[in-house]
Amino acid sequence: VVRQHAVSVSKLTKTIFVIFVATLLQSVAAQHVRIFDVVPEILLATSALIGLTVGEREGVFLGFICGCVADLLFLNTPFMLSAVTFAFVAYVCGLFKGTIVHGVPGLTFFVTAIASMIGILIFVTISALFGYGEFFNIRLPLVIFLVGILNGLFALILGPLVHWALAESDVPQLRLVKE
Amino acid sequence: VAVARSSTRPRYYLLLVVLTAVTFIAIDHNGDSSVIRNVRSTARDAFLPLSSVANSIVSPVTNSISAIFHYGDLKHENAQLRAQLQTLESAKLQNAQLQTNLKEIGDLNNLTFANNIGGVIARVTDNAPSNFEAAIEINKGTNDGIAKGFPVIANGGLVGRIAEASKTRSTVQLITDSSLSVGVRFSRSGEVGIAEGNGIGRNLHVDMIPVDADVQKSDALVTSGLQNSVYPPDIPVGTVVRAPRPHSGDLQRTVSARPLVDFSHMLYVKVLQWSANTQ
Repeated sequence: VVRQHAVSVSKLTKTIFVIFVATLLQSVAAQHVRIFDVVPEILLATSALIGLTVGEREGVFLGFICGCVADLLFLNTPFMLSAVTFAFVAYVCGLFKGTIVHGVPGLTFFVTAIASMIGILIFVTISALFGYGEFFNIRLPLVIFLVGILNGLFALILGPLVHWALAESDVPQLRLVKE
Repeated sequence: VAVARSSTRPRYYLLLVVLTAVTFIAIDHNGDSSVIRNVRSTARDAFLPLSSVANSIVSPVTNSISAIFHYGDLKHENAQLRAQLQTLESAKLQNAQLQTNLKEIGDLNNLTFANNIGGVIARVTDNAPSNFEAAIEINKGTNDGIAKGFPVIANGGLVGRIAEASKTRSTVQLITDSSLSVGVRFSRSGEVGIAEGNGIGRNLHVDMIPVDADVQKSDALVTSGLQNSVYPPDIPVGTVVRAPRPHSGDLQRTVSARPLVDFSHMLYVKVLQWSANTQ
């Protein structure tokens, strides 16, 4: 019990550290990584990576926390709009836990990019339901595309960090399996 | 049974999260909750020093990367700067950036519009870290007498309004933000309309103009200041860049206008301590 408790405290500390790093990265990226005025959504990428690493059950809560941080620090839209979006993205990514091979950068890039694109689309859709229909505009496809690409690139940095913090060491990681 | 329970439980968690979020969204959206606003403002105040430190650490790295990608430009610029430096040394000029800042602040204190309204001059610190809001951050907040809703101007004209104000900083929603509307008047004809933002870097969309209104390209737009307007009257807003003729059957005219303020090059802004309720 003591050992398990120690492990969970260590995991909690690492999780907080990952979210903190992602938050700082979001703040920095917003000032220094702008392409056509589009910035990466690092916390969304982190939610997707967390979901892929820990599964849907923990992913939904950690994605929710990432979204809350984004709502608190970076957005002026109604509180928890991002939280519900990120939680959903983490949940969906969590369903694919075990199908992603860690250490394959192309796959990490691709999956995070797609998840981020879907996340932006969900965010905009939920926003529209709460009266923010103006987010659906001619610029949206560009935003979705660039956020996907940028998040995919940042996932190459964040992926190993999330894996280090959250992957269960006693569970064998997935390998490419020859049929 | 055990398998079924473990597979359905995450869905309950998701449902719980969604219900919690929807409750908070509804509270914040409809009630304009002061508790949520205070929590946001405190969190941002607390995070600001960390963000500044991180930015100052990363800046040299990003500058170096930028230098690699723009080597040719930098080489050319370097030669120009060397020549410029010699000129500057011989003339013993003061720091040019400081002079620019001082001039901008001086200009803000001597604007030809809204000069009878008290205001706070603030430095633009950041662009808003969001893809869906046209906004900037400034380095003054409620401690300096700034409150949510106050209009913000710069040397060119109207910039926007205060969307959020914490103790030491504020977020300014720009007039190009798609959720912001400004009551405007055409200086030449006196006709009024509503200018709406179209998103970052795009022209304003002005509608609700009477169909027979005399509106032409290059007409100047100022704030109308009509009853209950959020902005004081006669602040320059933009210039008409496209004024298509109305079609038969149209009930109103619609034109496009370019904002007068160059939002990407603002160093300082002036927050007017003005609200419709106090007038």
